[in-house]
Amino acid sequence: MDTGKFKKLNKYHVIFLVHCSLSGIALFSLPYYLRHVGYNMWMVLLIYGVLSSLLLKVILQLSKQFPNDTFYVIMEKVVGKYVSKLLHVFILSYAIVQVSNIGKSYVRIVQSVTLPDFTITFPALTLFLVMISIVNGGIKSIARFCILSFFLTVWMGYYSNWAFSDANVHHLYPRLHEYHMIDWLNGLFEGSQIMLGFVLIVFFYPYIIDQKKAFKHAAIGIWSGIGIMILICIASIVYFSIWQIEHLLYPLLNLFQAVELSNVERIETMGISLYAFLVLSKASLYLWVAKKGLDALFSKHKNRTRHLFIVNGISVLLVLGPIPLIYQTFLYEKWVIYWGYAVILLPLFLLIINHWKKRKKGNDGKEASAS
Amino acid sequence: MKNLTALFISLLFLLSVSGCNVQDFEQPSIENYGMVGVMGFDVAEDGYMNVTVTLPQPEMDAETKVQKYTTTVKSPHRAIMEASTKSEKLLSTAQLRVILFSEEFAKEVGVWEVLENLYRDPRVGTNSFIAVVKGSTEELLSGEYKDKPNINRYLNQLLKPTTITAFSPFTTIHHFIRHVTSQVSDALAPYIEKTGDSIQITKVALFKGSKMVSTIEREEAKIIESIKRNRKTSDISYEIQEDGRGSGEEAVLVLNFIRSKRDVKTNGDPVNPEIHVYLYIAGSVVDYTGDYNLDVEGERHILEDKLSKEIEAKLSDSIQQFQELGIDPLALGDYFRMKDRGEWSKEYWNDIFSRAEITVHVEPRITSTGTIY
Repeated sequence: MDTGKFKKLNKYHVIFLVHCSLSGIALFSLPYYLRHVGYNMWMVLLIYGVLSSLLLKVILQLSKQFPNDTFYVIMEKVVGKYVSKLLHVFILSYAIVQVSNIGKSYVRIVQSVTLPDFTITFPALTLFLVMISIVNGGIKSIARFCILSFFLTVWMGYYSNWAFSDANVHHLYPRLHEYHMIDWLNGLFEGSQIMLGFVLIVFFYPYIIDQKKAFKHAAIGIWSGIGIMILICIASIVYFSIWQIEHLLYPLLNLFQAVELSNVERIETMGISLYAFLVLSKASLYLWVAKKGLDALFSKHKNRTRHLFIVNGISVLLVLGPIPLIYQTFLYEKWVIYWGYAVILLPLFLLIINHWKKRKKGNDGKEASAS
Repeated sequence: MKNLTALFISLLFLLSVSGCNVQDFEQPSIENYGMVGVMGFDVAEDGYMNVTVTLPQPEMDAETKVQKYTTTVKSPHRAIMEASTKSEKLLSTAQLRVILFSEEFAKEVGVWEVLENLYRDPRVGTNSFIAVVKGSTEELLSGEYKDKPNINRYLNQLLKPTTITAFSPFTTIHHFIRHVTSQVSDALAPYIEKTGDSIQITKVALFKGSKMVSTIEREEAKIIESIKRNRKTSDISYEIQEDGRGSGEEAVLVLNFIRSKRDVKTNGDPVNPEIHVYLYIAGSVVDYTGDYNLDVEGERHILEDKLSKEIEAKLSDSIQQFQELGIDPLALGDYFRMKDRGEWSKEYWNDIFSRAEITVHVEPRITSTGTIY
């Protein structure tokens, strides 16, 4: 664990932490999640960008009021010891489920595409062991890993060139009237798992050196993420028919399959391997949040490495344990999204309570001075 | 010390979990795999299909260049499973390059079910080519092509788009499925047949949905490809009736196309649909057996006009054939759809297309006559 200065995240760390907290493994399935609105899917991403920027602005208002406290401490200060414990458990569980969700999704892709003759046990364990190593170095270690992940994976965007060379640009023409409000809501709901991660800034805000510019840097992270997602969506729109978008679970793999190089075949296998970096950076961030949650619950916010092993162990069990498929489907495809919404709304809720408390305190102070 | 304990616990956990993985068969190494290169589908009785697969022959002293297995099954992957029981290799679809359908299969059964199942398999590359075969695919794959590489490489190279054969380059699994499921277009595929010691691409198969309905000539398909997108097309050959020549004495003109540009205008009216297709092509003369002096600008323009009329006539005939068949391999629906706000579906478009008044205007330009006039 990095025991250097408490304020340790520079602007690049913030940008890439927020960037990597977004899409992660969901990039593989992004067009599938947004299939409800067909070729209009790129507009959904713009809506996400605007919504998350607005929410970020409001969420950071809370963090600015407690510049040296993590979100767990803020909860204790705002809603008191007992209610905050409940909220800690709520967030801790959410973070653990997210870690398993990301890990499970990735090993499933690896198993079905790269290692079809193997069980997921070994890849899953390997993934989670690497995660421990990253998180053990603290938030700065995760931030550095995010930067590394970005530069190791972003060049894969060049391969979208093949899809564009065979593009039908007419697909980009908006067909808004073909979709109803319910389709847009379904698309917004199912695709929102790619945007839930930006809220994690409230957990690492106290470690940011230049907190005054945190919004600007986080917004850059959000919009760079949105930019990459829009690129993938546009490549899919021009390359696939509506039927393909509705039925392909991992359209990004099919986009990679379009690539024809003289010296490399099946570039998607390399893509899957490289995307392990994105998966690890996002999952590590959630694992760090879960570990901090356990620290808050059981060691009064003091750093305990064993907590990292515990949350990691629970995540592994969720991935490899005998959970019936029907519960897994509900947990990973529905509940985790509602849970994410609640976690995003929590800072807003705390901001209102804090504002109300301050106001009450102010009124009480005035009454006391008047009497 | 704490770190050592953590490491020990992790290792213990790892070892205990590995016990869950039951290894009741030997994991094959790469040498044990037989990589299927070509799959051919023929009609069999009672809803079955005859599937022929070929894979490279690993034995240097074997008499044939490829191993070939034919099975009668109901799905493509069953064929791989059945053939594996006959082979010393574990057959895999990871290197599948070419999928062939007999004409009978493509017309009567349709190719959708097979392609959908192959598309589902992540091991099968979506760049695998598909083609329709005259006669049976088993016969074609059993043929002897003495001066050619093994059939897997031969077919793969043959169907790969080149400047000469690029009349219908988009016949991979991905492209076929894209067109079959598209709401505005229909699919094409190369039509091949055995001619002596070779396999030749003789025509282009037209599909309505997933079933083959007819064929068109290669030269027509080249122009269709030019209309589908702005692109460099392959060499094109036309026979032109020149003044002073009798019937059957047409001059041959072969053009090496440099570029083509198309423009499509529609009125967007589903009741009285009108579509106007403009095609601008530029190319250099490779072969010319006529009497016009290409050195003289005026005579070159006359030749261009005659070529224009020739292409327009053939293209109009093709479009009329497409309208009668109720298919749109030109993907003109993309343009119409931009102006139409109706509830869109393939049936909706095919209905409009078959009633549409379509005009064609082709402007060829000879930009070069090579190194001589």
